[in-house]
Amino acid sequence: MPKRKKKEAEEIGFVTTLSVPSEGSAGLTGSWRVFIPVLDGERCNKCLLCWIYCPEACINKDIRINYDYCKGCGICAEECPRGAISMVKEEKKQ
Amino acid sequence: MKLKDFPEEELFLQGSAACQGCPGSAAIRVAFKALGRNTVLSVIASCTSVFQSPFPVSALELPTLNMAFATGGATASGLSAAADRLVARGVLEEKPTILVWAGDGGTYDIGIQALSGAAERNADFIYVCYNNEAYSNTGTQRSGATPYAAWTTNTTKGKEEWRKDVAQIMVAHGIPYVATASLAYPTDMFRKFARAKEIKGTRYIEIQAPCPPGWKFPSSHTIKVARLAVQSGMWMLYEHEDGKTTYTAGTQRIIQGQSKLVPVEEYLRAQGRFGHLFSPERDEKRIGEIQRRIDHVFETLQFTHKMKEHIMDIEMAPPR
Amino acid sequence: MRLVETGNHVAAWGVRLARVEVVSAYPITPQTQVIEEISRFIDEGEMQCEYIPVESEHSAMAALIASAAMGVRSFSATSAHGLAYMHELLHWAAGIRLPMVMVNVNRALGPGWNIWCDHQDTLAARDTGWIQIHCASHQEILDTVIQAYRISEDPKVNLPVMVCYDAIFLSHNYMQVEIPSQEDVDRFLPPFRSLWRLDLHHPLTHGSVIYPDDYEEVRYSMFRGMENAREVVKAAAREYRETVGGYHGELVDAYGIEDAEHALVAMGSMASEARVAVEALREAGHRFGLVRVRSYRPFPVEECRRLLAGLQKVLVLDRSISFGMEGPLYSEVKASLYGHGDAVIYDLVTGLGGRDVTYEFIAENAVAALEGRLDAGSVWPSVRLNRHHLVSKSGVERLGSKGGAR
Repeated sequence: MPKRKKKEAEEIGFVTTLSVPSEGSAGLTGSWRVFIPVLDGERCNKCLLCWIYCPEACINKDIRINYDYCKGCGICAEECPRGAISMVKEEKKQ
Repeated sequence: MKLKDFPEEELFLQGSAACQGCPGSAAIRVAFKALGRNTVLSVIASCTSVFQSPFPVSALELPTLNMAFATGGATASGLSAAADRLVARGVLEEKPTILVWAGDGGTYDIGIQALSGAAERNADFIYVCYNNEAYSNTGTQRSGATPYAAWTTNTTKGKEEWRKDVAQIMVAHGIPYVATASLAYPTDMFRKFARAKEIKGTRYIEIQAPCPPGWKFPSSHTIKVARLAVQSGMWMLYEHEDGKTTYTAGTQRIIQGQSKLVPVEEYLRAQGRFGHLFSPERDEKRIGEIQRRIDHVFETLQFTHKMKEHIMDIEMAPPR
Repeated sequence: MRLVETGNHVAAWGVRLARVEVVSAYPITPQTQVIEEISRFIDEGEMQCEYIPVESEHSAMAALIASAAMGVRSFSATSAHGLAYMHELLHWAAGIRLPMVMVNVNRALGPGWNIWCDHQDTLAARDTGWIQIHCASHQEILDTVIQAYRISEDPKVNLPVMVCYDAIFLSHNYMQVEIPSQEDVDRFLPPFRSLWRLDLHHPLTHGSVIYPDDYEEVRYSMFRGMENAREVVKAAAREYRETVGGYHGELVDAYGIEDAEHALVAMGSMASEARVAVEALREAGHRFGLVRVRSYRPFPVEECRRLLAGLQKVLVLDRSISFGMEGPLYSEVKASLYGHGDAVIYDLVTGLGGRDVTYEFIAENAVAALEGRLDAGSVWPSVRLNRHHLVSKSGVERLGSKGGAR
């Protein structure tokens, strides 16, 4: 039997590869962004296409974008039938 | 169902490890909305194993069993049999939907035996293949689903063979429900999941999943490429139930003559993986081969549709 | 109730008495009777159980894992090529830390189709994280299948258990067994329990990507579970004797070892033959005892030291071979005794592919060891070239002379 180096190893007990559901499971993925989607509320008619097409579930049904997690893929802007979303180069806060 | 009636609840949690513009997570959102919380999920080795995020947190808010590559159908069989016992014993009030989520590698190639076995046993589950037409998780190698002429890291001059069609193989199994879906047609996809949920037995849904890094297009074009695939006839939308195939959404409109096939060149040009067909010089032969195959399929379908309408006209006509 | 039955049918009785609810298995000779008997029990309403007739062993193990993950007592059975085919998922089953039990009928591996007894299949699955218990009688098969659930479901263990028994000798021969009452088994084996399951109200994700910073502890936890299993296997054997009756030893089953000067070490049905050899040797004035390794994983390290360290000569019988090394049981006995006592340890690799090993053969070689006529290391005393090998050889030579295989 291999010798154990640390006594704390004795107390590890039952550990398995179980994960807990959580928002931000890969961190604040908004930091991946280069271009940021900006919504023109005047043009938006809440057709919900951006809501359903967003691969990250970052746009809610009230068409509010969660910039903590939006990765800036640009699908919402590309697909908006009214051109209400534009992708703007983001100034990164240092 | 209209978009505004889709459930607001998200069972795929934002801030996952998915790539920008990931078709897998986009598809999973629609599937989860249609199936709801009473679902047990098994994820078969694929990009989804990764984009759900690493231990000890997860973007999936369903009880989830990640499993080895070749196990989809078998895992579902075990989950379903155990759920039946729990229902029989009164531990569960209602049987949960058993959902297997696999890529085209896990479906077309290494997992087809387990899928075929489960389908033949008519095990009670929904099998989803999100088909990004290559082994994207390992860096884009060819799969049985990679289309003819497509570049992958081990078909550097374009794949020489035509893809196989597992949805049709599943139709040949005689299972209760087979459907194909596209990210660009979310209401069609949602309806198919909702229909599948109502049925008992093996149900197979295949979603085309245009992959920005694997197919080489900008992350904003995932939906656009998915739409072009349907409009050009490279991806067909249908459902098969009770021995009858019904074409749906964009594919149906083309067959019924309400819209025209977009030349396949437009679809191919939208992706870097077909770039060698256009530069340094245009590969007329291979582009033509792909177009002819599509034309043949649609000409047949359009003809059949017209014949049926014609027969209906005769049947509906007043007797003379 | 007393029955005269095959070992396979007896295993099915164990599954029935353990109130197993999901069985997934693929037929392979010599295991088929296990699942045929279970199917009959289900069809006749004697078991409330779902039987999944999977299309391969890989799928059998996948379905078994999935059903255990739903929180249901689950069983499978296989042999040889089947065990090899599901090897990937043996690792998965152990790593998922869920209780499950599988029977493996020990059989030789091809090429050269051989359905007879050989331990190569299970010993090649040694490092998957499965507890492995090797049986030597029909009664032990029955009692061990029931005990296996108790061991596997113990919160200190949470590892799968493989109940192993020898092809043909045990799987197909008929022996008398005592079938315990369901009430007694129920008192010994409480309803299924596990430390986690797929729960709709508390959704958790199992088995996603895990980084180097987190992985080692998961494996260490498995190592601890296997270490804990030593005491749990022993306790299960003792409690089973009290509650149900029937006792076949714990990690080892020792015979005539108290006053022994030398010992034989073996597993499975060959240990029963070795027991007869011990009697013959003692009649001839050689004080031999027998240590039958019952639990191959966890390996009875302390037991080997306690029982063997003070002896003069130890003869291990291996029914498999680790190519490039020696008989695997031999390696492990030697490793256990390293630094303990100065017994000289010998190894017979014999009985492969079901070749008969008689007590006379074992006794002869034991005497050879005593008289210094047996080489150290693994020896193959039953190997000889027969007429069939010569026919085959002549075929190769004829091919060679015509310039083939070049």
